[in-house]
Amino acid sequence: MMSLDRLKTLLDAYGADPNRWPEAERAGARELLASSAEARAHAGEARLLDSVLAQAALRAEVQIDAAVLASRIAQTPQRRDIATGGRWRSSGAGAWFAFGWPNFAALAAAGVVGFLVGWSNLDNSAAAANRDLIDLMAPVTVIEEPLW
Amino acid sequence: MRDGSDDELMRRAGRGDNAAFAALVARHLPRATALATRVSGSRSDAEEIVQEAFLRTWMKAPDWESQTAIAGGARFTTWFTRVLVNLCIDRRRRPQPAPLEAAAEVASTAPEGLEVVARNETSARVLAALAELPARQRAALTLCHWDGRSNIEAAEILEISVGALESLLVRARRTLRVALADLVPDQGSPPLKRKLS
Repeated sequence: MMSLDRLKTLLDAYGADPNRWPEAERAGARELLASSAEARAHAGEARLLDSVLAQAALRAEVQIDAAVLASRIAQTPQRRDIATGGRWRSSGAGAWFAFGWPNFAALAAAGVVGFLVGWSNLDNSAAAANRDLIDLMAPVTVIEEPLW
Repeated sequence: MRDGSDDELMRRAGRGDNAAFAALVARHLPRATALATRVSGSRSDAEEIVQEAFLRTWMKAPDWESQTAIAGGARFTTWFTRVLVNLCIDRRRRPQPAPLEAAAEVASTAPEGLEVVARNETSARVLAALAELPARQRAALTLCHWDGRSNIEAAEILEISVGALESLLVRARRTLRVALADLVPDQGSPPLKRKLS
């Protein structure tokens, strides 16, 4: 049978409605409630708060038109993530490469840019270096994917 | 066109099927709106958050199949709700005007967006108290109490253990019990309806 302390935690966390309790613990909690007046008293207290929270129903009228929203969003071009959309999407080493590949690409691009910038500075001309830097950096775009 | 599981609709949306994406939006928009309103505490924020969440859904769609394979087959609703809740929490971290400006209002006159009306004074009080909770407590309570999520599902959405979820819920309900003490009668006292009237 469930301990009274555990039942009190359940009531404090989920309230008095058994449907909100963890499924695996419902039977034990019901058994304790049937046999213990103290348990029923705690359940009664939790029920009072439930009754107040139950009145906090929103009337959320969705004024956004789902079709219009979907249509507007669908005008945004989709872009396949090269990290997982290609052949590296399997598990194990493939998955490691999948997540690592953009990092290597960015690292390599940064290395090339760094080398060329350093090389261009050999003439000690700041103006020339800046021109080269701008020319070299322009085509390098690093896109960060949001984690999920 | 409402047939198909969420995952199927995501796969089709990932192939550029606008109708599949529209079905997905129509299916989840009302619930997402209610959840975002409670967790963000603001109807205007909720509107923006829901739109952002669906935009992320559209951008995620082409990679849904491959990424869920790597992640062990995450369910769409879990992923989508996690995006939504995280957006709400991030939004709440920014400086805010008055909390839950809608709580005491009778109706919105905004031509667009959500019209959120607290049904009565008690409702307004509870929503205001909810808005004062720390963001993760509010998210946990909203998921379990109003959104009907199981403890396992809610913990997965919040990316915490079930024990940590219970701790958030216990603290949230204890805070609300204190904040709403005048609305929560002692056992044996007059019925709630009389006390509220």
